[in-house]
Amino acid sequence: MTFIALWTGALWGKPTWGTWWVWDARLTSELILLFLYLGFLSLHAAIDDERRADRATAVLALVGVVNVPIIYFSVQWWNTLHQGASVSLSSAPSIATPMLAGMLVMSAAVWCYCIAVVLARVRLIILERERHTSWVERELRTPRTTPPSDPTSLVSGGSS
Amino acid sequence: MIYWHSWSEFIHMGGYGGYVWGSLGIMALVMVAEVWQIRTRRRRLG
Repeated sequence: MTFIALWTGALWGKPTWGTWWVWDARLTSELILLFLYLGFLSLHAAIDDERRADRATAVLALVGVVNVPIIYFSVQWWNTLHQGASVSLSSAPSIATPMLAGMLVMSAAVWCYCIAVVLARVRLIILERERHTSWVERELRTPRTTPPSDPTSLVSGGSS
Repeated sequence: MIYWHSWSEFIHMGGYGGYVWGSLGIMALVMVAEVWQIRTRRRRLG
Protein backbone atom coordinates (compact mmCIF):
# COMPACT_ATOMS: atom_id res chain seq x y z
CA MET A 1 0.00 0.00 0.00
CA THR A 2 2.60 2.47 1.11
CA PHE A 3 4.75 1.42 -1.80
CA ILE A 4 2.19 2.49 -4.38
CA ALA A 5 1.54 5.71 -2.58
CA LEU A 6 5.24 6.43 -2.43
CA TRP A 7 5.80 5.63 -6.04
CA THR A 8 2.83 7.42 -7.50
CA GLY A 9 3.59 10.33 -5.23
CA ALA A 10 7.17 10.41 -6.42
CA LEU A 11 6.08 10.24 -10.02
CA TRP A 12 3.63 13.07 -9.60
CA GLY A 13 5.86 15.19 -7.48
CA LYS A 14 8.79 14.74 -9.80
CA PRO A 15 9.72 18.19 -11.03
CA THR A 16 9.97 18.41 -14.75
CA TRP A 17 13.19 17.29 -16.41
CA GLY A 18 15.07 20.06 -18.15
CA THR A 19 14.03 21.23 -21.52
CA TRP A 20 16.04 19.72 -24.33
CA TRP A 21 17.65 16.34 -24.43
CA VAL A 22 21.25 15.11 -24.41
CA TRP A 23 22.39 11.49 -24.07
CA ASP A 24 24.29 12.29 -20.95
CA ALA A 25 24.86 9.75 -18.16
CA ARG A 26 22.85 11.61 -15.54
CA LEU A 27 19.98 12.33 -17.90
CA THR A 28 19.87 8.80 -19.25
CA SER A 29 19.85 7.17 -15.83
CA GLU A 30 17.16 9.61 -14.79
CA LEU A 31 15.10 8.62 -17.84
CA ILE A 32 15.50 4.98 -16.83
CA LEU A 33 14.07 5.99 -13.45
CA LEU A 34 11.06 7.52 -15.17
CA PHE A 35 10.54 4.31 -17.17
CA LEU A 36 10.81 2.31 -13.96
CA TYR A 37 8.02 4.44 -12.49
CA LEU A 38 5.87 3.97 -15.58
CA GLY A 39 6.55 0.23 -15.58
CA PHE A 40 5.67 0.09 -11.90
CA LEU A 41 2.35 1.83 -12.46
CA SER A 42 1.38 -0.24 -15.49
CA LEU A 43 2.36 -3.51 -13.80
CA HIS A 44 0.16 -2.57 -10.87
CA ALA A 45 -2.71 -1.70 -13.19
CA ALA A 46 -2.29 -4.95 -15.13
CA ILE A 47 -2.94 -7.27 -12.16
CA ASP A 48 -6.54 -7.41 -11.03
CA ASP A 49 -5.99 -8.78 -7.55
CA GLU A 50 -4.80 -5.79 -5.56
CA ARG A 51 -2.77 -7.74 -3.05
CA ARG A 52 -0.98 -9.78 -5.69
CA ALA A 53 -0.32 -6.57 -7.62
CA ASP A 54 1.23 -5.05 -4.49
CA ARG A 55 3.57 -7.97 -4.06
CA ALA A 56 4.66 -8.04 -7.70
CA THR A 57 5.29 -4.30 -7.88
CA ALA A 58 7.13 -4.35 -4.55
CA VAL A 59 9.65 -6.73 -6.11
CA LEU A 60 9.99 -4.42 -9.09
CA ALA A 61 10.53 -1.51 -6.71
CA LEU A 62 13.32 -3.38 -4.93
CA VAL A 63 15.02 -4.06 -8.25
CA GLY A 64 14.53 -0.45 -9.27
CA VAL A 65 16.31 0.85 -6.17
CA VAL A 66 19.57 -0.31 -7.80
CA ASN A 67 19.16 2.63 -10.16
CA VAL A 68 19.26 5.25 -7.42
CA PRO A 69 23.00 5.04 -6.60
CA ILE A 70 23.68 4.80 -10.32
CA ILE A 71 21.98 8.16 -10.82
CA TYR A 72 23.83 9.65 -7.90
CA PHE A 73 27.30 8.56 -9.01
CA SER A 74 26.69 8.90 -12.74
CA VAL A 75 28.34 12.32 -12.90
CA GLN A 76 31.55 10.91 -11.41
CA TRP A 77 31.67 7.56 -13.18
CA TRP A 78 31.10 8.66 -16.75
CA ASN A 79 32.10 12.29 -16.58
CA THR A 80 29.91 13.41 -19.47
CA LEU A 81 28.22 16.73 -20.03
CA HIS A 82 26.46 17.06 -16.70
CA GLN A 83 28.59 18.89 -14.14
CA GLY A 84 29.60 17.41 -10.82
CA ALA A 85 27.97 18.44 -7.57
CA SER A 86 28.34 22.18 -6.91
CA VAL A 87 27.40 21.88 -3.26
CA SER A 88 28.80 19.36 -0.80
CA LEU A 89 29.09 19.02 2.94
CA SER A 90 32.87 18.79 2.98
CA SER A 91 33.85 21.92 1.07
CA ALA A 92 32.71 25.50 0.63
CA PRO A 93 29.88 25.82 -1.91
CA SER A 94 31.00 26.99 -5.32
CA ILE A 95 27.84 28.91 -6.16
CA ALA A 96 26.77 32.42 -5.17
CA THR A 97 25.18 32.85 -1.75
CA PRO A 98 21.76 34.09 -2.94
CA MET A 99 21.55 31.10 -5.28
CA LEU A 100 22.56 28.71 -2.52
CA ALA A 101 19.96 30.19 -0.18
CA GLY A 102 17.30 29.97 -2.85
CA MET A 103 18.21 26.39 -3.64
CA LEU A 104 18.08 25.31 0.00
CA VAL A 105 14.72 26.99 0.59
CA MET A 106 13.21 25.53 -2.57
CA SER A 107 14.46 22.00 -1.97
CA ALA A 108 13.11 22.13 1.57
CA ALA A 109 9.76 23.26 0.14
CA VAL A 110 9.67 20.46 -2.43
CA TRP A 111 10.56 17.90 0.22
CA CYS A 112 7.74 19.13 2.44
CA TYR A 113 5.31 19.06 -0.48
CA CYS A 114 6.31 15.51 -1.49
CA ILE A 115 5.99 14.20 2.05
CA ALA A 116 2.59 15.83 2.46
CA VAL A 117 1.33 14.41 -0.82
CA VAL A 118 2.61 10.91 -0.04
CA LEU A 119 0.86 10.98 3.33
CA ALA A 120 -2.37 12.24 1.76
CA ARG A 121 -2.24 9.44 -0.80
CA VAL A 122 -1.58 6.78 1.82
CA ARG A 123 -4.58 7.99 3.81
CA LEU A 124 -6.73 7.89 0.69
CA ILE A 125 -5.59 4.39 -0.29
CA ILE A 126 -6.21 3.09 3.24
CA LEU A 127 -9.74 4.49 3.14
CA GLU A 128 -10.37 3.02 -0.31
CA ARG A 129 -9.17 -0.44 0.62
CA GLU A 130 -10.92 -0.57 3.97
CA ARG A 131 -14.16 0.98 2.70
CA HIS A 132 -16.19 -2.10 3.64
CA THR A 133 -15.11 -2.07 7.25
CA SER A 134 -17.17 -0.44 9.95
CA TRP A 135 -14.59 2.11 11.04
CA VAL A 136 -14.41 3.61 7.55
CA GLU A 137 -18.19 3.68 7.39
CA ARG A 138 -18.15 5.65 10.60
CA GLU A 139 -15.31 7.86 9.40
CA LEU A 140 -17.00 8.75 6.13
CA ARG A 141 -20.32 9.60 7.69
CA THR A 142 -19.82 13.13 8.94
CA PRO A 143 -21.95 14.23 11.89
CA ARG A 144 -23.91 16.57 9.62
CA THR A 145 -25.32 13.82 7.42
CA THR A 146 -25.86 11.41 10.28
CA PRO A 147 -28.91 11.87 12.47
CA PRO A 148 -27.65 12.02 16.05
CA SER A 149 -29.92 9.18 17.05
CA ASP A 150 -27.00 6.76 17.22
CA PRO A 151 -24.38 8.19 19.60
CA THR A 152 -21.68 5.70 18.57
CA SER A 153 -21.64 7.09 15.04
CA LEU A 154 -20.37 10.40 16.37
CA VAL A 155 -17.38 9.05 18.22
CA SER A 156 -14.86 9.09 15.41
CA GLY A 157 -16.91 10.90 12.80
CA GLY A 158 -14.95 14.13 12.91
CA SER A 159 -14.03 16.01 9.81
CA SER A 160 -11.06 14.54 7.98
CA MET B 1 22.66 41.05 -5.10
CA ILE B 2 20.50 40.67 -8.13
CA TYR B 3 18.07 43.44 -8.99
CA TRP B 4 16.03 44.52 -11.98
CA HIS B 5 15.40 47.91 -13.54
CA SER B 6 12.15 47.14 -15.35
CA TRP B 7 9.41 44.58 -15.74
CA SER B 8 10.73 43.38 -19.07
CA GLU B 9 14.15 42.78 -17.53
CA PHE B 10 12.49 40.83 -14.75
CA ILE B 11 10.62 38.63 -17.23
CA HIS B 12 13.73 38.17 -19.34
CA MET B 13 15.76 36.89 -16.33
CA GLY B 14 19.08 37.65 -17.97
CA GLY B 15 18.39 35.29 -20.86
CA TYR B 16 17.09 32.42 -18.75
CA GLY B 17 13.46 33.55 -18.78
CA GLY B 18 12.16 30.46 -20.57
CA TYR B 19 13.88 28.17 -18.12
CA VAL B 20 12.93 30.03 -14.95
CA TRP B 21 9.29 30.72 -15.81
CA GLY B 22 8.84 27.38 -17.54
CA SER B 23 10.01 25.49 -14.45
CA LEU B 24 7.90 27.63 -12.18
CA GLY B 25 4.85 27.15 -14.40
CA ILE B 26 5.10 23.39 -14.77
CA MET B 27 5.70 22.94 -11.04
CA ALA B 28 2.63 25.05 -10.22
CA LEU B 29 0.59 23.13 -12.81
CA VAL B 30 1.63 19.73 -11.43
CA MET B 31 0.95 20.78 -7.84
CA VAL B 32 -2.53 22.08 -8.63
CA ALA B 33 -3.36 19.01 -10.74
CA GLU B 34 -2.19 16.58 -8.09
CA VAL B 35 -4.04 18.20 -5.22
CA TRP B 36 -7.17 18.38 -7.38
CA GLN B 37 -6.83 14.71 -8.31
CA ILE B 38 -6.47 13.62 -4.69
CA ARG B 39 -9.45 15.74 -3.71
CA THR B 40 -11.79 14.33 -6.37
CA ARG B 41 -10.71 10.80 -5.50
CA ARG B 42 -11.47 11.49 -1.86
CA ARG B 43 -14.89 12.94 -2.74
CA ARG B 44 -15.82 9.84 -4.69
CA LEU B 45 -15.56 7.88 -1.46
CA GLY B 46 -18.25 10.08 0.04
